[in-house]
Amino acid sequence: MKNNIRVNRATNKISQDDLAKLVGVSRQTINAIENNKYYPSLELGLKLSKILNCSVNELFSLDDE
Amino acid sequence: MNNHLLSTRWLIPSGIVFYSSTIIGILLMTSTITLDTVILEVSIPNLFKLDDPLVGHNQTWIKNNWMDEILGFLLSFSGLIHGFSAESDEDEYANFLRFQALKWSLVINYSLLTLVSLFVYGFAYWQVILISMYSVLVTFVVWFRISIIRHRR
Repeated sequence: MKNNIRVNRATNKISQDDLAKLVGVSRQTINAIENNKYYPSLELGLKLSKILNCSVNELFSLDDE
Repeated sequence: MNNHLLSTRWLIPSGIVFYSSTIIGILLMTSTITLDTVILEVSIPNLFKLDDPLVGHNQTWIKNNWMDEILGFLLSFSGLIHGFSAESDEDEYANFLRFQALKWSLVINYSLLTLVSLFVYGFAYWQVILISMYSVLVTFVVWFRISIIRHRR
């Protein structure tokens, strides 16, 4: 699975630290998600998509898509 | 998200007790130092009256030094509390790291135990079983702690 969090974050001009605070996780967790070291839960995925103003499908996609 | 963890305030006190009792336990196992004192030798009810030469022949009450029992209790109890207390920055990734540490601790310990069961016999096997009682918990806690420290960098 790949994600576009870094791109969407840059578009919305939100830092890792700010995004982490908005969704209630640590900055290192956002970093781990962006680097594909950790796949977030559905709850966190939905929170991220809400904050970054996009759908979950825009934020996360399967490798073969 | 309800992760059924204990409060963060237990993390440091339980850590102090856990690491201290682990170090004392390792020292006691690897050296000739002994914590046996006359004060802690008490009569206790022998609940399992097996005909065991180590414990006694069907005795209802036996004399026993409680030092090793206390140390084992402190290690197990504080290890559980330390391993399952919420981190100050607890989130789902910390929970994921905790699960990974628990998984690898079980895999490594039981893999070693399987090998030991095949190749170690006698008193040495008894000692390995004794160590394995605590090594699952120790490996889990240490693995998780290292993972959390690396995660925070």
